[in-house]
Amino acid sequence: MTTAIEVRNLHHRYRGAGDHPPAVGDVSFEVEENQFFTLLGPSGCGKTTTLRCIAGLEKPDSGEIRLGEVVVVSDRTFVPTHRRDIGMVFQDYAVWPHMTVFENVAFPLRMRSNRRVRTSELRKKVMPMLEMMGMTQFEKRRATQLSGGQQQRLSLARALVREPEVLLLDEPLSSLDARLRAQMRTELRRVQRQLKVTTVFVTHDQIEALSLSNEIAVMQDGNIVQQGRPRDLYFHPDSEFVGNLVGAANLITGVVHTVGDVDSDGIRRVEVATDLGTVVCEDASEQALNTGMNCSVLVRPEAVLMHHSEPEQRENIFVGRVDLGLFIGEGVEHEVTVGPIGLKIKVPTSVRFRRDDKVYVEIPSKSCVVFAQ
Amino acid sequence: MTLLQDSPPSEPPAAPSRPRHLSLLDNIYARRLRGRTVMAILAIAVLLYLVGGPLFILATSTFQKNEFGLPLSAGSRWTTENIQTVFGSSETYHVLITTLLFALGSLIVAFIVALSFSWLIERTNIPCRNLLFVLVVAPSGMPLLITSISWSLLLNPTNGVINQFLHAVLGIKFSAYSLPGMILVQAFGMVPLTFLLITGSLRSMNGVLEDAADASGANRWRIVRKITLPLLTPALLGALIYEFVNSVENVDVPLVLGLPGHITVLSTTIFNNTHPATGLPDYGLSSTYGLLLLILALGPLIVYDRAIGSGGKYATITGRVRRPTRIDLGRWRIPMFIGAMSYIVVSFLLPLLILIFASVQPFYSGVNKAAFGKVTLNEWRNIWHTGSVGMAIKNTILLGVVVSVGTMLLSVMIAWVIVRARSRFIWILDLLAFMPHAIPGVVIGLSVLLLYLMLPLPIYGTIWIIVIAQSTLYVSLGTRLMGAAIAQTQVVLEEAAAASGAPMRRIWFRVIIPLIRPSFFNGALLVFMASMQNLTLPLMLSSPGNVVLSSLIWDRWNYGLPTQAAVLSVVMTAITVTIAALLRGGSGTRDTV
Repeated sequence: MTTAIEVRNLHHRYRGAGDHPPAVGDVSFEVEENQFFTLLGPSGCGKTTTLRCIAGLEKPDSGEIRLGEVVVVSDRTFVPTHRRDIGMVFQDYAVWPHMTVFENVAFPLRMRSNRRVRTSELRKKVMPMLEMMGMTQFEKRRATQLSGGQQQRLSLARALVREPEVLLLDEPLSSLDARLRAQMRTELRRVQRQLKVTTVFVTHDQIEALSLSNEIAVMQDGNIVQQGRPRDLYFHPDSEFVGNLVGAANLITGVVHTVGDVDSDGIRRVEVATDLGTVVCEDASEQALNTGMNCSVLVRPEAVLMHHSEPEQRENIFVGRVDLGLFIGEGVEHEVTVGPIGLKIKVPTSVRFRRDDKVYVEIPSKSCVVFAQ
Repeated sequence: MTLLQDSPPSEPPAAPSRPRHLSLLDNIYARRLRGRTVMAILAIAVLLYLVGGPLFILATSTFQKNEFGLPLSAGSRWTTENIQTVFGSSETYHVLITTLLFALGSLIVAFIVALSFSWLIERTNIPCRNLLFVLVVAPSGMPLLITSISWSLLLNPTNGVINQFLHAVLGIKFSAYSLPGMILVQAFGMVPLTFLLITGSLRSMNGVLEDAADASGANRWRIVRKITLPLLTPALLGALIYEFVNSVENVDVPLVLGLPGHITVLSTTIFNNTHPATGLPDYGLSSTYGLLLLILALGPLIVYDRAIGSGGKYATITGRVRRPTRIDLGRWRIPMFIGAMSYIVVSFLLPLLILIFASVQPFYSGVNKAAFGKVTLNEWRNIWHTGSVGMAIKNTILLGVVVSVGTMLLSVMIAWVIVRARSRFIWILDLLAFMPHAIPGVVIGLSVLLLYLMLPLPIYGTIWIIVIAQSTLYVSLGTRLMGAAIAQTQVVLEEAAAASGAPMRRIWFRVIIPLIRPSFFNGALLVFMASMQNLTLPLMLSSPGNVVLSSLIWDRWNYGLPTQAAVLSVVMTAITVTIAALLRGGSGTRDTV
């Protein structure tokens, strides 16, 4: 595998930001060729600034960026945006209202040379692109006569038409409504697979990040706090912040009671004394854990099991009372009071629980993640 | 991921060599950065030259005295004599009070009329609303000079038509050559623009805000007081400040109506000191008056800035906008319409008709039976053979074209730098571009006059000095218009072009210019019309060689040739009303942007 993008020690502070922390503190990462790489984080975490630095729309204070073989940013170099081999899709589509659909897509091709390009030549590249996006019938329409979803597909076609080395996506789905967003998500992944273009994707939506990416870098306050494959991030977050960001989570605070030995799979049993009682966790991390340390236990709502009668021979069983049940079609989201705390528990619709039911809550130890404070 | 690849990478992985640095020639960014900076510096330099230079001369010549000629030249000395003269004489205070009365009086009348029309047209079910709109705005095509002349024909104490009528029926007369007369005519002139400035925000106001007050139990009057008027405040204040500067800066009404009645305001004081009937001009003294007028005009602006500039209190609230419901006038519908039409007849139609009538009289002497017998088209035939008319038309077109195109090009550049640049120093440019808005035209005329009397540039006495002065006057208008247009085009449209491989030059030609073209043409047309209508600057800077239509009309009127003045006025009004109509047509086709 070759590295398609390399970002090293990127640092950027917006002018006039005063004492505020820098937009990007010290960011380094590499993206392998053909990968779908996502920068995920809440607004203001520096993910968009990082992307804009890769695009050349922002000139970072320091750091180095390499696209393919070309160093585009370093102490002594700054290649302007239009000289970088990129395609970019913006949040608000950014289709040019004074051009037709065809002209919008043809624009990057025209920019390749200073002489006039013949329309027949352009069509050879533009039409397959429009076809891929299912937009051939709109060829002659003005870009403003398209719906939001069509505009975003047009914007994607425009970004891809010059077969860029790198595709940059700046929250391309966030302006769309929920149904369209789901549809475009599938389409985006299909197109990226088909064209095999290295992609950097910026989003604050964990579902987009998890479903589309080969690799996710979670950013917080201008720095990458954890980087890994979607499953790793979801099941083994390094911190409460990441755990919360990539999905709904229950966090139970407590104190480490005992720490077992690491077995052959790299897993150790940790017992945590919490307000619920003792919670047994299977910890796969390499963090230092000692008896008496403050810690918190993270468990996903859908990982928690709920029973009407007490199950036998199991650990981590707690008695609770159902507070609230929200039927959401694919399942039911419950708020359950267990001792002094409330837990979010998502169960399939097959078993019904009613308000004020006494229930037995089971937290599987392999689904528990422990964070030392 | 390699497993999924169809073929192995064509090249072996590059050895970890030193990163390849691009050559200096490749490094366009440095050049683009410089291009942007150069643009900003160029804009600041041009503005400093246009705005800063004249103001500097104005300030210094206030403290200079030279009995025989120019300030800052041989024989002049530093002194505070001018200040003492100006502030020591009771005449100054008299002029100051007259100026304020004139300005405030005309503002009150103009705002009452404009607000009434805005409310009637935007918020009630008065009939023929589109026609009324056009008729209220149409007089904006009539230059204030011409309005003044026609009102002099209608209301002069000897043979004014309305006075003849009033005298015959009621035995009274109302002289146009009085302060109330001047206030009335100035107000007529200001109504169209005031109306346009207010009506837009009244129309775009979100009706939901009023509905919410309604649903909260407020009655109609409380809604107006607590919701509608506070929401209109920025527009009203903005219009008020703008029209205040308008009412103190121009010489049209004060010259045509004030001079015969011996009513002097600051603008005419400045004009008289630089263009005395006898003797040498006193530039030091007129500079001091100019400075006084500048301060008078700046005062309200600073108050406005404090009121509006202090926060997002008046920020436009985005969200779904619903047009407010129209109020049913009931049985007042027709009487209101008749009232509105009567105003239009009196303020626009009557002046137009009297001008046409005066243009077919050998010598205007009122409207009576004898006068109808003497109708002749002689002057319409003969006037074109006088040499100065041909020159005036040529100069007017040259002036209008150069000023509108030049000012708008400069404005686009300034506006783009202001809107898009992220430099800390951009406020300098912003301030410089805004300044001419606050500087009364007569002061700009005076400062430019002084500057080019002193600078060894051969433009004094040519049309180019008026070009420069008008460019200074209109650059803030142009910058405002283009700033709004550029701010409306999202910056991502430019960024998307860059990300598509377009260099700066091509972004300008393929994206920025096409997107702002409608606004640019509209702005240019607006400046062209304003340039044609403007009398103050051509008069302040007049020489035999640079006469334009407006200064020629004044010249003929002043020489006692009302027929010639009337012919030229009809011609000019026809042209400017046509342009005004084109303007609205142009502004209606912006749905694509």
